[in-house]
Amino acid sequence: MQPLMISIGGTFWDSYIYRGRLYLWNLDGSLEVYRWDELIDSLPNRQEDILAFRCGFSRNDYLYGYDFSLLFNDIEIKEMLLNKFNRVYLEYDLSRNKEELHPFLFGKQNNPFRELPSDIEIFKNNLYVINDDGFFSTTAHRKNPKYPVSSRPRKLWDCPVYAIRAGNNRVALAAGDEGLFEYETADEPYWVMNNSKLVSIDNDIYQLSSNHSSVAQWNYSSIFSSSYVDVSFMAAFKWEERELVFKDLIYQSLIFGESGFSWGLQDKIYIVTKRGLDVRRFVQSNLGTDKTAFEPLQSVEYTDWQGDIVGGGVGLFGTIVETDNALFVFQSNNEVFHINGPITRWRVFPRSIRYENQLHVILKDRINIYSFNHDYFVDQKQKNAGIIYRKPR
Amino acid sequence: MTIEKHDGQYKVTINGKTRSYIINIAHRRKRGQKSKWTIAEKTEVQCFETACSQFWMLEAKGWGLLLNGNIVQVLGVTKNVFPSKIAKFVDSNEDGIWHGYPADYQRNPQDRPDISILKRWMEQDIISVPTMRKIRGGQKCNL
Repeated sequence: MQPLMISIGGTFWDSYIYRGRLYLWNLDGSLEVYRWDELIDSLPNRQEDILAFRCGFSRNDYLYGYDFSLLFNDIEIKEMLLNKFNRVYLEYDLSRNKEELHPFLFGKQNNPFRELPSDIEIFKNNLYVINDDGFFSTTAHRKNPKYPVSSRPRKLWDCPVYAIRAGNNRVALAAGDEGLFEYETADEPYWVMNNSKLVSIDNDIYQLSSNHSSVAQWNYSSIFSSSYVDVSFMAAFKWEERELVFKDLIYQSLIFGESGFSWGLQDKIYIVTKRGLDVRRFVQSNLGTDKTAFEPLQSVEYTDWQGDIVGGGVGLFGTIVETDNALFVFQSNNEVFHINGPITRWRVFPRSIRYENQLHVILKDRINIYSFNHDYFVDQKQKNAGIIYRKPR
Repeated sequence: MTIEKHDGQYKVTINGKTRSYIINIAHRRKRGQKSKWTIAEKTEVQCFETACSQFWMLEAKGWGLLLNGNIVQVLGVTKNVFPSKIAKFVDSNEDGIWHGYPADYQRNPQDRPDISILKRWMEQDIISVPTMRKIRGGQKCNL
């Protein structure tokens, strides 16, 4: 099953999708915000294609969940849905230039920051940005089309950082040799008081480790810190009597018993080996018990990387390996999807409620927005590639 | 553009503006826990001069490359003995006296060239946008 793809021409630096709006950061620093859901609804030519477009691009959540398992076990219904996605794939040209998107432009503004961001995250209507000047937040998803994002950012920390990832009221910050840090967005941090091991660096910024950190991702309440040049590790947190307690650092050698680039998200942790990818299922509740918190799953055999491995990520639809000139998507249905580079930037949105099957890939002169729709039909508890779907609370 | 040496200090003059440059011996010792130049002292100073003349400098910091045409050459090794192709120059005391060292952009976020400098390298066809992105993210790249 091929993913659907919308391709938008332009020279972009970064992208994000949040609450019905597509944020496109141009290479000149300007920010354009599009009404994504309206754009998607404008694309189908036929009534019978609306379902595939909506489920594919603006309501990924419609077809997920156990509510549909009875329907999807019916082979006729499953075939009908697959045919709908396949027809859109075969019959629609979804390439657009930016001018064609103009009717859906919500607003355009100058860069609210001094320079292009190194990384961004949006949650709870706040845009978090890191750049040469430090770590900032500002209001996003505003009603004013002149300023979809507030042009008055607040500096939260002046330490230069490689990457940020948002968790639940927490932001993980990977700061290279400075280590792994966490920013507390909640008014009253609910775990800090119980964690004398952790060092407060600045207002609401806490150091979790002084080990090198290139990228950080959330494995539920714990953080997996990946390093491109050193050993990756997990900063393990555990709920104890309704309090979140920092337990310890767990190094990748303990998780996998071997070295290599590793990364994680929610219930999955991956490492690149000579044979392909080794996979562990992370069970947060097993931390600190006699049971293993890192259950071995079947490895993914693959060696045809065609270059050095320079990054990794995970979505619901699969796990992604970045090489110096391509992306490999190991889909949850065991197929491999290959995207040729050079690639400026790619993003997945596993935390989102409606866009969790999207993969944004920025190339030299366009952004390709992929929608992977195979995962609705995959047994979520059995899959090795990609995180398990959990219904939002 | 001129480079003169007086009392162990180089004077680099470009368009009438003179900067002092000293060789920091800590980045040339065989032993030690710092990054090391693998190019000659003279080439190090020329690298600084190029950074100044090409406007790859900010107020008290700058970044340099050793170019052969538009091919970026190795100029040193990081403290973990990986090849380094980017030099960082600093005026630590902001007294007009500069020194430099091979940068380790994958380990130290501060060693990454400022994005305004990376954009300039991109405009000069030295690096691509994907390379600019990888340097900002501390990822390995084909510089």
